[in-house]
Amino acid sequence: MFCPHCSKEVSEDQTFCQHCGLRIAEVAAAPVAGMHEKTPWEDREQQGFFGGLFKTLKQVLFSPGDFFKKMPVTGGLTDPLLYGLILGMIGTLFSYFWQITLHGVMQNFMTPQMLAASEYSVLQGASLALLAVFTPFLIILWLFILAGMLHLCLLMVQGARSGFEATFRVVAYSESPYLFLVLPFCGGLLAWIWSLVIIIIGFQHAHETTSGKAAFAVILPLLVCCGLVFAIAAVFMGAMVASFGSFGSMMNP
Amino acid sequence: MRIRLKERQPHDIEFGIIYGGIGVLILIALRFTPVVQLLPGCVFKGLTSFPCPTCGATRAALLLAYGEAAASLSMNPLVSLCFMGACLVFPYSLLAFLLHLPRPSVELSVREHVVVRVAVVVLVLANWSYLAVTL
Repeated sequence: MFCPHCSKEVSEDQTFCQHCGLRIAEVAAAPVAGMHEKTPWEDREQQGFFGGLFKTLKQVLFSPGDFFKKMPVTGGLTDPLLYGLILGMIGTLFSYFWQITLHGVMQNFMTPQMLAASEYSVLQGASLALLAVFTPFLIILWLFILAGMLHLCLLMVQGARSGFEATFRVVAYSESPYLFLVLPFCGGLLAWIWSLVIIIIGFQHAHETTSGKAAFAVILPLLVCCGLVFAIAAVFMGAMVASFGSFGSMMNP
Repeated sequence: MRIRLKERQPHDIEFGIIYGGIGVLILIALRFTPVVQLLPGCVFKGLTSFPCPTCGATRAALLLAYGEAAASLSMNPLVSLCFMGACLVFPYSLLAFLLHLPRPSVELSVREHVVVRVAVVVLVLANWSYLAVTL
């Protein structure tokens, strides 16, 4: 065997390396690069709720490669789902907030046709507030739909080596950039692009596949199934909005 | 290929309940809410004037939600079959989960995996060709 510190040959029964003097057994037991360890969010008992949340957020946003390299690919869907839900909720609520507060400002930049169309928008006022109540349900559905679609694409390119749970975990943690929805106007685009990049990096490490296969699996549904992606999202969003619209018209005939 | 009945393991993910349930929910939403008035058009078709592989998916699901199976199949056969599958898989998976019934498990060899992959691609392309002609 070889010493993990100096890489020189040592005999099997040695506890310390005769070349560098460091303990061999301890090093072998410690986590090394590539070994999986709990994410800060999944280690909330030690890190605390907010500590776990912020550390995970920071790692996913700024060092996604290291984060996904260490992320366990099993351990249940609940923790990543909860993380994705929290980040998704924060982002969506800010998005609703900007829609309400900047509605007047946006009208200054709209053409007469856009203004006429916006008159029919039910995404305003009370409907928007009611929609916010149902947002967690929509976010959970969205995470499963997206993970399912991306996993199918990964399977097609023989890139899914770690199973569905790994895909779901990557998709849920890649909700982190949706925090940027706190920024009006450009926040949505920034979050979307950042999230796509994180998913590609995540797939590469969680499934131990090539970056090409990971990128292909992420971009394929965007290119080919654009209609389906938007339609599924719109069906659920629209169902809620349409229900509230009907509810509103019943209340104010 | 081997198909055998398998008992549920503690950490098995209930794909049938999750994705079958999503399919059924979409059909319910389309049937009982005026959601179709709020749906966007296809970006792919808007840009290229050519239908995307999932064009007509919403209309196929809408027709199925109203019980018009034949019309739904002619709108987008592949998507329509997926929704029909969801309607069958969801109640079975739910029952299997609640009553602890064994569920069928398919085991494929490496060669069979490749055959399935190719078959899926061919199926999607055939469906797309059909849409290009009809839509």
